[in-house]
Amino acid sequence: MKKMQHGREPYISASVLLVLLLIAGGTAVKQARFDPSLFAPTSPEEGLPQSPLSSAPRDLPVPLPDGLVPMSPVETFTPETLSEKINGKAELYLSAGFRSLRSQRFMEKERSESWMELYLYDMGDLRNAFAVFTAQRREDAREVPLTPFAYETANALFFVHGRHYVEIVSAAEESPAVMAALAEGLVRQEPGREETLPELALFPSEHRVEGSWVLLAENVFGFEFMNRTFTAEYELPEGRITAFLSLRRDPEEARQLADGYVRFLLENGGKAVECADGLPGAHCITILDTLEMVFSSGRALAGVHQAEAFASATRVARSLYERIAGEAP
Amino acid sequence: MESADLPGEDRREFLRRLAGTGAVVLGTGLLGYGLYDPEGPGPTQGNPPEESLTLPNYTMPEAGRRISIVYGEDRIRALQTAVTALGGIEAFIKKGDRVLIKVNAAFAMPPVLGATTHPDLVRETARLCLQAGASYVAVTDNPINDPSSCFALTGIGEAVRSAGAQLILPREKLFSSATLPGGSLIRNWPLLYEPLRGVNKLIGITPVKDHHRSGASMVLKNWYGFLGGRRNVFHQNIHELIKELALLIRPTLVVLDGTTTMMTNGPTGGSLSDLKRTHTLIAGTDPVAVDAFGATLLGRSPRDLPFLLKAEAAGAGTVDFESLQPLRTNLSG
Repeated sequence: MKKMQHGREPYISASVLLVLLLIAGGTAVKQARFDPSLFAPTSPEEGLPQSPLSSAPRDLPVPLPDGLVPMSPVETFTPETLSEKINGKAELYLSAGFRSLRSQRFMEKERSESWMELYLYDMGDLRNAFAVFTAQRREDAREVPLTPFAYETANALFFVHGRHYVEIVSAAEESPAVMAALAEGLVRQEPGREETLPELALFPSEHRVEGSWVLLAENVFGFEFMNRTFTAEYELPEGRITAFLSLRRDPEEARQLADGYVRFLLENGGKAVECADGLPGAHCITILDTLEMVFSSGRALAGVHQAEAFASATRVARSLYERIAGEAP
Repeated sequence: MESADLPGEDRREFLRRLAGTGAVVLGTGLLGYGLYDPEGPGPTQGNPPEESLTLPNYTMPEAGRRISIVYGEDRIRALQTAVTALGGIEAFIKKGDRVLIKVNAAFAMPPVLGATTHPDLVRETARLCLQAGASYVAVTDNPINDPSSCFALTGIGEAVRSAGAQLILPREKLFSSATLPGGSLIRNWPLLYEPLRGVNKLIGITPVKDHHRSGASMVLKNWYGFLGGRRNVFHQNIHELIKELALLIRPTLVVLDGTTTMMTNGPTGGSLSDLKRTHTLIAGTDPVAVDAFGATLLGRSPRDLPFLLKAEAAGAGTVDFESLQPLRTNLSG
């Protein structure tokens, strides 16, 4: 034993140290030549519950309609790499809770010039998906009965499917028939995922503009403490009115947020005015020649935003107030 | 148990070695901790500062600061007319010139979606340059998406080939660190420099687009495609970055395509309903003035686009495009 220690052991030790030195040297050289132009971190999607729509190593697990074949492998983007796909629009998704994007191009087998790209944004939950869906809604949108929140334009389909926001964009000026079949296959893949958003039912339906929902994820109306707020448009003879509503954790939070928003308006040039009857506890503020009406009722914070037609604004606000008082948890 | 049988000398030797090994392990740990950089590599890594490059100025003083505006649906005719109004392509391209055309090929999307430079404009610009006697015409961009897919699906690659020009795809070895003297953001930042090396004329061609972050993507924003690295870090300071790009890149001629304008959901769009037929093409030698006019197609003004005001204040051009007395032509009239 002693002989071994004073015999081969020093050489073995020296060899090990030499190997370690070589590794350290190689690492140092590689680090020194680091090229940030190639730096594109890829991180696994940690902590995400898996579903068939969020685990596809090569192809998206979407049943392809007859005649449609993959044109490219699936691409995956994380919050760190999303801008490599959609550049400046990444902020819109990131601020709404984006988790991952998988995209893949498909083409018609017999017509290679007819291709489309499927974007499957995992937004974490239905609300986040709804937020980015409504933020990008096109003016000429035509509702389609694919999911509760779905529309089409001349060349594309946009819809919410559970926690996913989905876009299918055709390369041609018109959507090929197979695009709808692709979307239907994707929805069938995980049926029964269409949850509801209770806030939507709290908006009165009279005069409401169809499909005018918007879910503002954060910094609502410029007030940094207000988030997750739904808006809907109302078309009245005197003009268009925007109503808003946000369900908070408890009545106290709703009341505090309403007070905070009122203070924010007053600090930015708003002037408190008397509200019409029938809106207990409501605040009315004129700012930049428009009327802002804010109130809380139970867990709901609600009101009317930047209304030019004051009488119509009051009418919508009262209707919203009554609806919330009767329905809100 | 065996240690209890060790002679005293071996026990001391064992403890001595144990302490030595522990010290090495501790030292290695401390060294690693000391060298650990929680923020990762920064923009200044790469070539040392003294090797950093600055770019040549590709402007032609004799061409002056001018813009021409053409109204019409036909891109090729509009381009020809706009260039003719500025004195013809010969006013910019001389025999033997080596020309680089910087396009916007950012996304692997078809031309019909208006997110990238239209291939007809690339083909015609390259053809005009070659016709004027250019000895070399190349087209490049460092796209957001996979470069090969971008140049193929946008139709730009085919347009380049059919015009007899060269297509330069961005590769690692084509980037070098560049610095804008006095700049605060573009400092030792990887730039797609090799395509610029050896050319003496630079032309930018890009569409008018809404941009979620900067408000608009036009001529000045198009220079973003010369940057490499983790350039998305600049999105937090996008207006300052575009101003610096306006100072760094001084082109010979720029072409802004507003035949269709991406009015919403930019810079990617995705739906034809994001586009509006605005039937306008602008060419000029003052990129700031060209962009200021382009902003009007989006229904915006320089006040809505801070990068324009910053670029003007920095001396990159003027937002008062009317002061340049634009030459206006209506092809449909």
